[in-house]
Amino acid sequence: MTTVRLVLQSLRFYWRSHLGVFLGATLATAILAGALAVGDSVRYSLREMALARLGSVHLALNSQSRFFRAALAERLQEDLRAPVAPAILLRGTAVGQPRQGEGARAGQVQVVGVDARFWQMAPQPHNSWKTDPDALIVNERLARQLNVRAGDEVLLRIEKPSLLSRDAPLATIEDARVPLRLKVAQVVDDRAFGRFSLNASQIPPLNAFVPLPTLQKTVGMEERANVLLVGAGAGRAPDVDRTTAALWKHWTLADSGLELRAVPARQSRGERLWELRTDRVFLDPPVAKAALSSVPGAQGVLTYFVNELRVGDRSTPYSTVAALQGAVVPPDMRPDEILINTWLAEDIRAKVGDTLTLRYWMVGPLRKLEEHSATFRIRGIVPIAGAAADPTLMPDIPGLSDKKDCRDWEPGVPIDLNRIRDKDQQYWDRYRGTPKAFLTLEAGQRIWNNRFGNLTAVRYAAEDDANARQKIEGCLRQGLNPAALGLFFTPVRDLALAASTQSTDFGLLFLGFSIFLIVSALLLTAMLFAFGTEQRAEEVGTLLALGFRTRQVQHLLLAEGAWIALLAAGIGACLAAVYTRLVIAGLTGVWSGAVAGSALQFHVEPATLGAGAGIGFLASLAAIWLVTRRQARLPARELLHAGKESSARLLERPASSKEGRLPGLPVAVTGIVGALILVAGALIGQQDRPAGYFFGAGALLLVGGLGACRLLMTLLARQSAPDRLTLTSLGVRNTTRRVGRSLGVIALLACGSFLVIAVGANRHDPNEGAERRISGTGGFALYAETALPVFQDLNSEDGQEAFGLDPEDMVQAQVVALRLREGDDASCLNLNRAQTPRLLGVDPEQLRARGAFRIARELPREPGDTTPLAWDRIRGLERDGSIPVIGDQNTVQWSLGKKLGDVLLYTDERGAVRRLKIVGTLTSSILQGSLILSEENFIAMFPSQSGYQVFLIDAPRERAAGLAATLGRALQDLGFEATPAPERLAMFNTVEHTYLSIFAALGGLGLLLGSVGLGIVVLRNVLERRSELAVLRAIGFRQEGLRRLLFTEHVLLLALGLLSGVVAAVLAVLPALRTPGAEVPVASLSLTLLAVLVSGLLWTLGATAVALRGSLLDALRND
Amino acid sequence: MADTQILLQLTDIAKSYTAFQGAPETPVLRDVDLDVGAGETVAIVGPSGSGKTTLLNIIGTLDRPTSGRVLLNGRDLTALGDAELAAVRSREIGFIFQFHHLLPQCTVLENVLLPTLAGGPEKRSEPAHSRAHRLLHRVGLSERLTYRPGQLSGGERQRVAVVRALINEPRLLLADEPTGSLDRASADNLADLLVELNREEGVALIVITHALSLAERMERVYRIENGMLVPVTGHVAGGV
Repeated sequence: MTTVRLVLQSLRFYWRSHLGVFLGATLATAILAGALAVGDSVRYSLREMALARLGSVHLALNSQSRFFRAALAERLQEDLRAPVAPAILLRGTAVGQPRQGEGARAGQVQVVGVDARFWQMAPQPHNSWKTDPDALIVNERLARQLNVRAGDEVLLRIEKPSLLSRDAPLATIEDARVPLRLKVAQVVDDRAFGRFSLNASQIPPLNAFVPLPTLQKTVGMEERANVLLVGAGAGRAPDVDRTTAALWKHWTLADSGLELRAVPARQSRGERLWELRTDRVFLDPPVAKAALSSVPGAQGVLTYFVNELRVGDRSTPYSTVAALQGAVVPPDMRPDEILINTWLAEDIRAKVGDTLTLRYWMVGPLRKLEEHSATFRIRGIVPIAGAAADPTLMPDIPGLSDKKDCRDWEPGVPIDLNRIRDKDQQYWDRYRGTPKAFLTLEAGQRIWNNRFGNLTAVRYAAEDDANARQKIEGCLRQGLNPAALGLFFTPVRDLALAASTQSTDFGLLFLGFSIFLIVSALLLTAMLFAFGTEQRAEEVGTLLALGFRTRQVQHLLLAEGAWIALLAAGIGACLAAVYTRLVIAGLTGVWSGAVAGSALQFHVEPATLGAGAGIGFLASLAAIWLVTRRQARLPARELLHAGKESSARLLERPASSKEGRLPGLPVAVTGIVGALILVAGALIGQQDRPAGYFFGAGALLLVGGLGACRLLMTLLARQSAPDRLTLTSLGVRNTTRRVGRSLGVIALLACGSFLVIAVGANRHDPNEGAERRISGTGGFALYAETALPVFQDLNSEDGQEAFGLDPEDMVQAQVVALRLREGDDASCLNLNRAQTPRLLGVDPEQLRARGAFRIARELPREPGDTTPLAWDRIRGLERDGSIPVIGDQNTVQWSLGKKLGDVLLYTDERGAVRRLKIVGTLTSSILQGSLILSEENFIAMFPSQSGYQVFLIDAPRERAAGLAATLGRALQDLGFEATPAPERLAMFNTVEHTYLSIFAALGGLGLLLGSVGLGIVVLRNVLERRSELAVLRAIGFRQEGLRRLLFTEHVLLLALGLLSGVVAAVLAVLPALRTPGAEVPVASLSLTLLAVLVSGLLWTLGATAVALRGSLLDALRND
Repeated sequence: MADTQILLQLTDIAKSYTAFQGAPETPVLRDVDLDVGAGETVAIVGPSGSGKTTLLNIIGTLDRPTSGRVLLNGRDLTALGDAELAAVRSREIGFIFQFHHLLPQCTVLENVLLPTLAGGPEKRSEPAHSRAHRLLHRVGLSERLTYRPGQLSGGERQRVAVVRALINEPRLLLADEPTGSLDRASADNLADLLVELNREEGVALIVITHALSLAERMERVYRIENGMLVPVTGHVAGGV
């Protein structure tokens, strides 16, 4: 005989009573492991989606507005021996033109110019690339949205890349987008790269794949690309550093829009003048810096287009003025002096010493043109010869330098062509862009400084030999860095996998949602185990009498429980998959709002099941341990005569029921009075957020209610016999026999129903106070985004006119425009952990002045400074040089996994890693999904990024819908999509609401399971009292009467439990119930409670019937 | 008695109960003195509710006296803690109950060996397993070793319980109405067996019984009257 054998024998012998324990523990483990495995499914699905959107792409270079030679891909491929595909990635809109049915429009379309190399990187490589230049391939989502299929036509409007930022002075915005009509050749699914995207999101983008040559031609970027995709070569993942080194090796000036050329007009014997210029008009500051410092004797040039050169009342319109170092400008020339050429001097009859005024455009925020002026003293008049007769000093300004006739000029700034005289045309014909005036470089950079650069060229004097170009290029290459030119690779695959693995842990989330279900199952396990061991009281007594110590007996029982828990853990882990499947079915069905409609796939990792089984085992064992530690506590002699002694104990009056003491009264009074105080506080104090007060009051009332139940039982127990004893009154009195057990049932039902109702009904109404500035809408009526940037100020008449808007349309409407840097959606709608979140650049004054949004928490700018700065907080830089940003609380906490004061590293346009410090968090707002920084800092990070794409629109509520429609029509080519701000907020709330629904549903199931516990309590109570019931039978009670007796006493427990929970919960959610339009799921909550009630009644009835089965009189004999 | 070494000594044992808090105490036993020598047999008789079982529980360390001392082998049991008392029960006392209290999930042999799991003597005269076989053979159950209690007759079950009580080689065997649940024939057989085993194993035996036939076979008989232990001298018939 061994202990193990004894335990195994007991297990086998008592298998019937252990079956319930096993089922309870199995259920707990299955739910626990199944909930954890939901996390596996979500992670797996996100990983699959990540791999579907990247195929075999490991690294990507996305230089956005900076286009390089597409041929660079071939050089890299040869060097790296890895597949490299060039592509063009642009934003656009699309209109479907199906042959059958109505076509539809889609904004936010990702237009991708690709060739065969791209399709070879698809998850399932294929050759979908058509040589037909008109063949368009769309992904399934876009095809669905446009209602098109193969053979239908689609009209794309594509953002036309501009080498010069559209925000830059002299940049034109007239050709900001180009149309392209193509025929759909194929609709591709995820396996065929339909999901291709460089941003982490589980929502597939709207992809339109255009043959690369077609797109290059359409947007005027022949032989160029702005994206390089690098795959794995020969089974080896490419390395960022090695790939960057290879890129630099094959990089040429042309890849960054730079050109080193000999200045034709400036060649003298033995010496030649070289010039580095850019097709972006202004040399990027890093390039300018390198160009000046890398080559000895470099001289900067800044040539600007001015509106007017005036002396007194005489003026010359539209001319170029150059600011130089050396050449025409003598070393001793002062910054307030100017040289003019003879043509100009003659035209405006200017002479040395006169004051000359320059007028020129500068671009302000929202591309607002501001005419500035500067005055200079004429130092001298130079002939148009030599260095002063150099038309190449003028940069290539689109719409200007390429025009033959001055009257065809379209320089991107308003010009009055009527001011151009014949003599101006003649000057243009003869001298082209030769500057008419010359400043010192210092003076020019002072007045024309802008974010795009302050040099239009750098010039070098070099010996006229064949190696001069190589020497200068070599020096430039030394001083430059590819990242500074926007050419850097990102490990997109690693980031994507990180985004999917670091996503919200749905395993833990569902563990939380299922906790009530698990607790109920464990409670059931414990109750059934207790029930089973109590039936074996005599056995326990025997063991004690035979010399077993109490602890030894407890260990024997625990060992039995451990075996059951172990078996249950094994079976439960297998059944976990069922629970996971059910949850996944829910998440792709009724609960799809929780995962923003993502298509999730079932997937379970053995390790998770193992962990779930382990935790389930320990949890079940803990539940059993709690039971066993209470066993074998009674003396052996009592246990050996369990029935008689137990009854005898009941005859003893509990110490706590001493006359005069009312247990439960202090708790009841404290709870109820506390609840009343909180409610009064909420009502009298006119609190902003009464919900918290009411919830607290509800919780206190719940505690008070349980105290009241305890008190009720004491009073019932003390009640003297009524004149006429009835079965019902006897039943009611019986509830006081086992006060602890009765209260346990009441507490379980009360807490369960309280949680289910309080959580289920506690939903925010997005319309509540939506018009208030501090609400989540910021008081704005509409939130809008465009696929293509808007350069105009929609608040100005000019801006409205540009889109054909009638000023009447915009009466009472004001627009706050925000710059957008595309990135990972960091809202709760994206399940991935955002690695590079979207950034919004805003003028803080626009929001500060309105008092828009509520900044819940703010990091002091200076330690100890508690003055809230609100939106002013994002101005400037932090002391440590980091950039202050504000984010929605949900974005910061859940999507980014950060907190106030944390720093996020973000690579800017020039490859520099910037530190974004979270200095404030917003309470649940429509700005969820992005981090907000000042426009000033945004521009510093992304100087090339032009225009505005996000708009917060103020308008009277009643006009919001009409305004959205009007703006939608006017800006449809830009892919304008407006959403009522409360609706956008509601969209984010959908996730939270769905979570609440899930909790309510699973909590309801848990409560239902908990009601089974009531049945067990009934069974235990009744079986313990079989002899007593037999006596009642013996003295003439009918079976029916006994059934009524037992039913009455247990229904009272059920009623008290539900009543305490429901009343407290209703108080807790009263603010939500009273809110107009509140979305309280009354029907589902009522059904849940009804199901609990019915289940409780059925279990009570069933347990009563089972307990009264057979001849009760036998019980008398056995006694 | 004078020649025999004293195994058990009860001195001034009293026991009283309180029905509920504040209620007056109800005395059950008082001034109980009893010496039992090694290998001696004693019967205690008395009407229901007289305190027989209470006395047996006190001797068997299942209950504690309100006052008085219980010495087993000269060791004061009233001064011991629960764990030590459990060890005493395991090593030195064997119990036989009115109802056999066999574990239904275990075989006959396993039931017999059950006390060995709780402990047992530091030094056994023979291995527990062979002792179990021998004793079961002795009580005529060698053919029933793998039977479960449910497959045995009442008498057989009680015989298993007797063997179980002897497995740890106790020096004192306590039997509470051992024949109370048996028919006449089985009761007689069990009485024979108890006496024989007492002789063969040298174990002292204290029996509480209503059965005259069993009490008469003990060397000494006591009766509990008004909570006191009164020796019954001469012929016990009619006095019991």
